[in-house]
Amino acid sequence: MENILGVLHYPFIVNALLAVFLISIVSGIVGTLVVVRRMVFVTGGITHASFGGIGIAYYLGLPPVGGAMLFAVATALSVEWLGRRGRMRVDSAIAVLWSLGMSVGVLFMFITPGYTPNLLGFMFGDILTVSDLDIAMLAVVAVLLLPCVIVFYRPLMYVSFDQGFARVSGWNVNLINACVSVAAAIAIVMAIKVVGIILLLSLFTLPQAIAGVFCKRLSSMMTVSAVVGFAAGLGGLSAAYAFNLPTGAVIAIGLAIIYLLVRMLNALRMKMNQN
Amino acid sequence: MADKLIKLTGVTAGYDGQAVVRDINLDIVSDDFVGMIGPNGGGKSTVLKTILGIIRPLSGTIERAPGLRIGYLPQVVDVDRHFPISVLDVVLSGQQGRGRLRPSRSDRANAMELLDYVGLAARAGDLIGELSGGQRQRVLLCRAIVGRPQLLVLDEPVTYMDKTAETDLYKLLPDLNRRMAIVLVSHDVGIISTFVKNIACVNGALHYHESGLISEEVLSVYGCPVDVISHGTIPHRVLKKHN
Repeated sequence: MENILGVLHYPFIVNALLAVFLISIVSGIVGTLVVVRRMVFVTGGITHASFGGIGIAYYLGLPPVGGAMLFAVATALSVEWLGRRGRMRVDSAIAVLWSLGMSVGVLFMFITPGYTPNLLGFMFGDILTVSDLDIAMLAVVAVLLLPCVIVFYRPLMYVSFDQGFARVSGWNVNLINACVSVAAAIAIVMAIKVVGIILLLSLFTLPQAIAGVFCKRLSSMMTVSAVVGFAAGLGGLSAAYAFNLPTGAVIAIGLAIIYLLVRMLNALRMKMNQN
Repeated sequence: MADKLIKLTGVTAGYDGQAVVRDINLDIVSDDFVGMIGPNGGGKSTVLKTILGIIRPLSGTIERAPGLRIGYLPQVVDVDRHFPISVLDVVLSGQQGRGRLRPSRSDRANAMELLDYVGLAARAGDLIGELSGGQRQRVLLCRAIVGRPQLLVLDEPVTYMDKTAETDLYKLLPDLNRRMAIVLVSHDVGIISTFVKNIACVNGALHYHESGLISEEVLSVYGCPVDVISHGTIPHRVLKKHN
């Protein structure tokens, strides 16, 4: 016990804990919207495209989060715009932006003179290097997101459930979709530090898949996803601290195992209810 | 006295500047029951979308009664069966769109009353995906009428439904028609001729028939598909011969 409390004296552990807590809230909410709206592939595209921004920021000596944010939001809005009225097949548009962003990132990393710091951190997550600034940004995102989702819960639910009907009944569907896409882009960039680009989708889909097994409401799915994400984050953080393992990988594997267990337990319960 | 709800004058509509239907004139008044038939690709959906305001006409004018409320029941295929939303919330989603972000107590009571009307009050808390196709369509009918529309638009409402479910749904229509105008799109002329007062046949253009003049010959002239007039449990009406 003393040991566990002891680690709290390290500021980087406190930061990491705070990051896990805040990211769980953000990904619990945004990930649920992503999953029920079937935007998972879009999210993957946004995540990878943001690497382009990171590469350019490194080359110019600017903060990489800023570059990532710019690319992520631009990708989200481009996919949204291209998909509307079938200007382009959405999955193709995603693939184009996905590979373009990654290539730009790789290219600029390559031509940046000298050592590129923390490249692996962006790829796989590096939760033990979360800075005070990261925490502050995460807190701002969480504090802005939470009231928005509470106030606009019903339009979000209605538009996600049936866009066509929502449009007919007078909601500004394009605006709401764009807001969800931008929220997803921002949440993604905030989460890169924790799980990394390659495994980011795990935090935005696996807790939701687990919650979806027994949640019947959008709101409960958001809450349960956040709790599951937090538990997984703590697991990943412990693994990173104690065994120096990559956080993202531990989180993803842990979540996948929990998902399998939950599905098995649920199948068992259904079988027992039948008998 | 029937009020004018919506008037389409010389409307040409389509997608990406390409006309699907041309020069349509259609007048819907408050006690109308218009059946809309026509071959696939003839433009039924385009006319519906124009009425609903989903697409703007390429030319021509649409006049709507001020503050016109339209209820809309889409085809079954539009709904995600895995979505975490309750039956009651689906009905309530038809209630909003007037600047209200939360349903009031009376909105809920109203929605429950409608679910009771279609025989599904006991399922209010269930997931929408747990219902059968016919039950789900009745829930979507509640969603379409919970906002007390003056005009109800039904787009092939019984696709993929079995005969019993179909009958259950159609039984409600004459009663609803006492409170609102109805536009019913169907390929089933039997159903159309049983309930509707007028027929709009859409096949590139729109041909309007008063109920007394409906016959298979009239319809076939305009290239409309004609099914066998049904003799189900629904009371039907023998059509006058066209001469």
